[in-house]
Parts: sequence; structure tokens; C-alpha cells
Amino acid sequence: MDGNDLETQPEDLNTSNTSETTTMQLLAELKDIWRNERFAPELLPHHVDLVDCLLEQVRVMEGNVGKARGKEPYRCHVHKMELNRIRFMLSNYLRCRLEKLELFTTHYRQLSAEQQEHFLSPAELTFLNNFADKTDELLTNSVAPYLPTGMPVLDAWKKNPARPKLDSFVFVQPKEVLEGVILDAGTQDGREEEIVTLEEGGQYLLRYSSVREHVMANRVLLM
Amino acid sequence: MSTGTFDPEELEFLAEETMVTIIPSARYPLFYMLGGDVGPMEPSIPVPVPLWLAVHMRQRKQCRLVVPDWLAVEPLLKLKEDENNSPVFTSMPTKHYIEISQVILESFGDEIPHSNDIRRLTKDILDLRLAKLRASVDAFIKGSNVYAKVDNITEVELCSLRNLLTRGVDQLDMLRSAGTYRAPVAAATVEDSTTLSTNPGSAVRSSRLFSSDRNTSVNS
Amino acid sequence: MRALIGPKENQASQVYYRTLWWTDVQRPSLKMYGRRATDLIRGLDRAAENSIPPYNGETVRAVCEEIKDIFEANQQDTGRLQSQADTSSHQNILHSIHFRHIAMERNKRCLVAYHYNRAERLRSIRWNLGGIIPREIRSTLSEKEVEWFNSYNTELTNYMMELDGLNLTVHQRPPKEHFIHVRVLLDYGDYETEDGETIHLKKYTRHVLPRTECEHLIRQGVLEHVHV
Repeated sequence: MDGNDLETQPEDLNTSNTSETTTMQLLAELKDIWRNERFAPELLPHHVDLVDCLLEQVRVMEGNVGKARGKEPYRCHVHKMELNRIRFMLSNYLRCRLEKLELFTTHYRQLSAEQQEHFLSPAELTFLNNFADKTDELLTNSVAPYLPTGMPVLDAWKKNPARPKLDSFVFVQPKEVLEGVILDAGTQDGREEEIVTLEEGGQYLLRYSSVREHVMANRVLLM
Repeated sequence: MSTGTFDPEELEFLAEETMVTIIPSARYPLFYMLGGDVGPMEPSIPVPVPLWLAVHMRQRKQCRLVVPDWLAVEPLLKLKEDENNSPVFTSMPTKHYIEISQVILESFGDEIPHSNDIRRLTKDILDLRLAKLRASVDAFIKGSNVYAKVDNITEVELCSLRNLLTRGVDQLDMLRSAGTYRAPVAAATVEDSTTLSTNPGSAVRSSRLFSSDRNTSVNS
Repeated sequence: MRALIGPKENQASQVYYRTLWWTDVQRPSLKMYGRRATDLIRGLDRAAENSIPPYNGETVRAVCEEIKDIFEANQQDTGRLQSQADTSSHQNILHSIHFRHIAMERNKRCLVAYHYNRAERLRSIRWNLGGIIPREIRSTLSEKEVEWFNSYNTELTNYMMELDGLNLTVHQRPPKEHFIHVRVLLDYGDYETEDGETIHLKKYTRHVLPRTECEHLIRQGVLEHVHV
């Protein structure tokens, strides 16, 4: 890491996963998962490794910019602009996730430990648990002293918590051909279930529930 | 921040990732950007850079822009005519045609001939497309559809569509789940949904913007 | 009880209880349940989106009092149900209990909604104004809310610590560089920008600079913003 400065080509970094991935590829991936997270009504599986990797790249670049200060102000400025853009994308992505956790607190607390591990990063899980506890405390303790002893306050609320609206409409662009996509028209209307095939690269308007698994598996892009 | 949509500033942010060609006025070394190397730049030699960087360099009077082919009066007139004659969306040169044209006109406007005409034309095209959208969304919601193919839609139209849809559909969903709503018998069944209005003179813009054509096997 | 009193007394007590029930319902002091709870919500509804009106402790306690009253009334009625042998008025009593229960649940729901909505507003304050509650706002909060704000602040800070120094509250809007045209008002000399670039600020010269660089110089009277 030492000796890296703005004038030398940075080494390609190795992610902890498998092959060598360039930062360019990571950024392209971030753009995709950012979009998907913004448009999905529910929390999507976390990508903590990708985020950590990019954060480190940003930190290293920031350090290099600091070293070059005064020597090449123009270059510094351009790099800083790019860093701000990347920081915005990362922040926006992470903030979107936090918002979903805050909105659907009870729902995400009710996931199994396995599911939580899949969807939430460790830091997000800690945040969720503390946030949930403290909020429950606020809601309960603000009124409990004035109510009959032992009367539950949040029981009705917890029985019917806010849940992500999985049948929201989304725009979808498949990355590959998707067969067997079930359109649920709502059996109350007396309609039959329909199954369609989505072409790669086509653009569709559908209910999120029809493509939920594909979104999770990164087979589609939400628009 | 709203999950489910991008606001105009964010759309512009996305559009600024697009590569454009500039002609720098000075020499610059290779920049090892995280998003991909940029440069080196020699005066008067065209070089590709991301739009956000082109804008920045322009503000410092360090470059001129090679205007994209499609952002000129003739090509836009053709696009507008095609759009007018087609009941469905025609293909746009880029998904960000509105944002890119706005950014370029704002930053490089004085270099571009007929910039006012260009501005007007892009707006005309957008208006045409939004009108098609509104008619189709109306039919989509009333028909209680749950599927549509929306080829050639661009970012700005997506945002507009989301707004139109969310209001209508959420209400209907609520009513439906309360058991108080019965969908009208849909005029568009799977069979006749493949007909698209091809009558260019049709006063009522066809609501077939959304092709409900599916490669479908109906579960019986 | 039936075993202790003869048929005539039984009849009398039946009438007595029925009368009691009537007077219960027609008690002049009986008011519509849920009015105070509605006041609570309405007060919040009226407030502008990004503001927090003062904590309405008085109404909160009034709603709780009502819940207590309902609870006690229902306890009484439940006792009545169990002790009363004659089941003819059971239906009426059950209806009363049910009605009161719904009112109580509604009150609880309003209380939860009130405090929850205020917490949502507090959350926005953290994101928009930072981790220290401005004094004007602090006086509008309950003690428990101040506690909640502080722990939310801690939770957020702890979360962001895992992000290698990325402060999510800083990068909320897409970055936009704003350059402004300025004219130099006095011979300032050399000025070094954040990036280490040196600009010579000579009186009457014009420059195009990032807004962030200029702001304090404009305040000091060194530069003047020129509108082009």
C-alpha cells in the first residue's frame, strides 16, 4: 500500500471471494445493487464484502490525494470529485437499507437467525436490535406508568406489524431469459394464474412478487 | 428519500456517468480513476471522458464538447416524427436523453448551434411520449393488468409512470383486499392484446402502448 | 346465590341488576370514549411535516386515565358475569365489555401512533440537523424522547463506525459542484485552495471558483459574487 500515489497505476485488488476483480467491476456491481435496493419494496440480501472493498478503495485513494496536495491540485480535485460520487452512491445505498429496517423493524426482527444473516450485515443486525429495543422502550414507558399495572401496550401492534408490500409494481429488465414467471392476477377476480417468459434485456412492468426470487439471485435489474 | 423512485437530481447524477467526447485545451496526464482510467489528454485531440468530468472541465474553460450525433436539429426532428407516427415508444438514442440534453445544453449551450430549437424538440418528444404513457396507464389500471412490456422506455418516463401508477394501483389494491372491488371485465384478453393500433391519424392515441403480448401458456 | 334466596327475591334481584345495567348505560357522566385520543392525533396531524409540536403529556395521561376507567369497568362487568346466575342479561353485559374493549384498544393504538410518529420526526431531526438537539426543539420533547434521541444517535454512530469513516448523513444529495464568478475587491495576494492550488487574488481580477472556496472570502469582503 505504501508508495501508492496518484501517479502510479493502482494494483488490482483481490476480493476475499474468488477471482481478481477490478474496482471498475465493483463499481458497476454497486450501481446494480444500488438500483435494485432502491426499487425493491423489501430489504435485499446484503453485500457487505463489496461495500467494504469499495470503502477501502475510497480510503486508499483519499490518502493518495492527501499526499499529492499542493503538488498537483488539478489532479486532486478531479479525484475528489469522483470520490464524492462514489461516496454518495454508497451512502445512498446503505441509507436506503437502514430506512427499510427502521420502517419494518418488527418484521425483520421476526426473521429466523439464518435469514437475518443472509439479509442483514452484522452491523445492520446490531443496529436493528438496538433500535427496536429502544423504540419499544420509548413507546411502552411513555405510557406504562399511567396504565393498569402489567397492561401490555404494544401487543396489538406487534401482532400486526408493518410489512413490506411485496405486490408493489416494479419495472424489470432481466439479465437472462426467465421462464416460468407467475403473474398473480389475484384470484379474487376469478382470473387464472398466468405464466410468462421474460426475454433477456426486455423491459417489463410486473408485481415484485412475480420476480422476487430472481431479484434476490441477481438475475434481473430493477428499473 | 423515497424507496421506489429516483428524484430529478439523482437521475442527472446517473446520466452524468455517460461517456462523451471532449477536446481538451491543455495537456493532462492519465488519471487513474476508480471508475476507469481517463486520459491522457493532449490539446485538440478528442478524448472520451464521463459527462460529469466534461462539465467540470468546461466550467474551468478547459475543453470543448464533441456534441453527440443525436443532439442536433435534424436527428431530433426525425425522432419526433417517428414518435408521432408510432403508437408505441420508439427507441431513443439513450435512456437518459432528457437528462443528458439538459446537462449538455446548460454547460455547453453557447457552443451548440440552434440550442433553443434542440431544447424545444427534446421537450416535444418527451411530451409526446408522456401523453402515450398517460393513456396506457389509465387502461392498464382499469383493466387490472399485472403485466406489461414497456420496451424503449427511458428514465424520465419511468419516473413519471411510477408516480401515475402508484397512486392508482395502491388504491385499487386496498379496495380489492377489502373485498369491495370487482375488476371490470377486461376488454383486452390474451388473444386480442396483440393488435396494436397502426392508424397514425387516430385521434385517440391507442392505449396499446403497453403490449400485453406475452409468450404465455395460460394455466387452465 | 340462588340457593340462598327464594324465587321472589330472585325476581327482585333480577330487576335490580337490569336497572343497574340501564343506569350504567345512561349514566349522565358517560362521554364518548376516544375523544382525547383523537385530540392527540389531530394535534400531530396539524403540525408541519418537519416540526415537532410540544409533547402533550396532559392529553397522554388523560387517555391513559380513560383506559384505566374502561379496564376497571370491564373488570366489574366480568365479575358480574361470573357471579350472576341469571344469564338473560349476559348478552348485554358482554356487549358492553366488548364495546369498552374496542375503545380501549383504540386508545392504546392512538397512544402508540402518537409516540411513534413523534419518534419518526425526531429521527429526521437527527439526519437533518446532526447529533445535538437544538435547544428550541429540546424543550418540546419528553424526557423519554430525549433519551431515545440520544440512543438513536449512538446506534447510528456505532453503525457508521463500521463504515471506514463514511458518514451517511453527509452524503445525502448527489454531489454537485457549483462554480461562481467572483471579482476580487482588494489586493489579497496568494490564496491556497483546499487542493493546494494557489490563486493570485489581485484587485479587480475575476475568477471562476468553487462556491465552497469562496464563501468565507465573500463574507470577509475579499471577493464579490458577480452574476453573469
